[in-house]
Amino acid sequence: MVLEIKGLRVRYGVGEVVRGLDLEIAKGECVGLVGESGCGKTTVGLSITRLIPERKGTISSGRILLEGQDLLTLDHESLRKVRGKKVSYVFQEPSSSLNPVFTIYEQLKEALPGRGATDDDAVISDLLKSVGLAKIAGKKNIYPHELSGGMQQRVMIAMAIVPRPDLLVLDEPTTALDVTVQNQILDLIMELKNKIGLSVLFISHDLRTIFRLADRVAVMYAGRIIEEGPRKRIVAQPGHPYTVGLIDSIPSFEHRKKRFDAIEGRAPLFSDLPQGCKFHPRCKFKIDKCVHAEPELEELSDGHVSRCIRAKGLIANGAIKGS
Amino acid sequence: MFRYIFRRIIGLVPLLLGITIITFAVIHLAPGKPTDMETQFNPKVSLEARERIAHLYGLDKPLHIQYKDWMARLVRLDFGTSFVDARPVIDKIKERIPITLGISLASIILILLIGVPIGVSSAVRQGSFYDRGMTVFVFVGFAIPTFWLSLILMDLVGVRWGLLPVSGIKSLEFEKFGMLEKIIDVARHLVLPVFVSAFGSLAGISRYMRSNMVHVLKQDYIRTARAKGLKEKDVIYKHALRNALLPVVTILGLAVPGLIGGSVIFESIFSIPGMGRLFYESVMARDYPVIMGVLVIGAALTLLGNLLADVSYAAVDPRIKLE
Repeated sequence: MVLEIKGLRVRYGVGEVVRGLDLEIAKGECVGLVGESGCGKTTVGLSITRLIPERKGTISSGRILLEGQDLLTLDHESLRKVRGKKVSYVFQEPSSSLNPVFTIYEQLKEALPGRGATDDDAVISDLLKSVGLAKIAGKKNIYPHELSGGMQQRVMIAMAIVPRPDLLVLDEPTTALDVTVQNQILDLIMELKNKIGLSVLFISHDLRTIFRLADRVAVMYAGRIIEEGPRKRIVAQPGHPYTVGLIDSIPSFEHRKKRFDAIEGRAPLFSDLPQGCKFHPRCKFKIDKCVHAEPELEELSDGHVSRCIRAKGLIANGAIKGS
Repeated sequence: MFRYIFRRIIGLVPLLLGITIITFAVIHLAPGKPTDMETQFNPKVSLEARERIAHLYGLDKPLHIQYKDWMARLVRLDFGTSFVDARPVIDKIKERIPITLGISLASIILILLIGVPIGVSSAVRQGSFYDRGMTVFVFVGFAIPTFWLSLILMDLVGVRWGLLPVSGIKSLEFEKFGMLEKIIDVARHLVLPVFVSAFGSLAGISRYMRSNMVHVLKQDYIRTARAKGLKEKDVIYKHALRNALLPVVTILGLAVPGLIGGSVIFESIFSIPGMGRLFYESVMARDYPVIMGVLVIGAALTLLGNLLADVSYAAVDPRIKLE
């Protein structure tokens, strides 16, 4: 395993936003972490190299093992050597994630593993070409504001892959982009992943992009994983009413629906989580038992788990199925 | 760039014209006349003599004619002659302006050297005892009236401890000194005035710097810099600081009027023969040509300061282009 997250708990001012989370990523695997805004998925990504600002929140317990090394016990200096070398990130907003007063060249140069080498220029030039930015390769005086959103995100990706990291964390990398540009960026990520053999944690609220990229999918709700399994299995037979809701919310061209099957209600606040299953207030299949105790993850088939006590029954009688 | 500056300077002309009209009207309509000094306190001066003097200065003409005459001379860069000693106004200002600008420059540099580090270090330790202590310190400086602080320091440092001279900018035996001694002598005379004028402005720049820095440290590109594995000192003093310093450039240009205005008070207290004291003396004597001369030059410097702020902002921020 490249990454093993065990029992991660993160506390913010409003409450516990990651409430005991386990996640594993194998070498060369792409795991998609999906969930609504505010379910704690970005926090999980930032926790890996402890990038959560101290005044905002703290990791209260758990272990995060990267190639067997626990990152939560590292001192700042050792942690710094993990950041941008073994674990790198691409964030949501490319326009604000690049420093406006430094050139693209300067910012890429900072990400090079061996700093100050003589062939830096050639390396950066090749790097820009490999992410489809041949147009600005070799130019040293380009500032971020001179590029489009898609090009900026390509720069971010270039910055993230150049150290050949053990793990690449993509946090909503296409959310802020046009649909056509989204597809180009996703294609680029796929291409790079296959070429370099990256292990990827792909975080998104958009199940469509997750389904395109991920080998395995983890669905997060109210700070915990509520379903996890191989992508194909989940597409064919989702094992949690919430996942079904997410799949049904994808607008589709083929079956033009009168209205979208949106999930009723909204995600609970961390300051005021319901008792029992955290999804029960929005669940069509709720029974009395759901209100009393939060279910454990239950295995539905090999490698496919669900945090729903009715999962097996609902699958058996066809109440929840893939689309 | 040069076209832009040229156009801006042309644009300043109507502004300057408006300023002269308003100040000319205010100064001439204010109670008291230049002839009072020579006539008011002397019972032997007859009414005819008074009118003769007023006629001599052109003060018997209607105000708009006086303004027209004054303006007609000003466009030929003739500021007129002083009512008090009949010397050309331009000569009186010329010998005093270097002193005021020198002190202003010295205090701006001092303000930056102290205020910027206070602001940055407070922002980095936001909410700490140090941060709050610095806030109190700079606001004390802001709240203390300049004249009061000047008098206290003159009494303590100058009179009781006898460490520094308290008035003027040269010692009596200045002419006998060698080059080095002359420089030291002037520097010793300027310590208190520069300190007083800087202390009051410290709050502005350091609080401004602090809030810029706090804002910048929350930006996405700072997270990117940390995620890249940069050293914390590079994150703060390179990535954050350059962004936080940008708006300070503007403040500097806008600080010019405050420094010229403030010089009136402390130059009078410390008997420094600068523009401020010249202005004070000429106001007391209702020496209209000198008052107007100082105001016109002060206004021109202020407007140039604004222009300089805009131009230098474009020079330091790659996103801004002057058109």
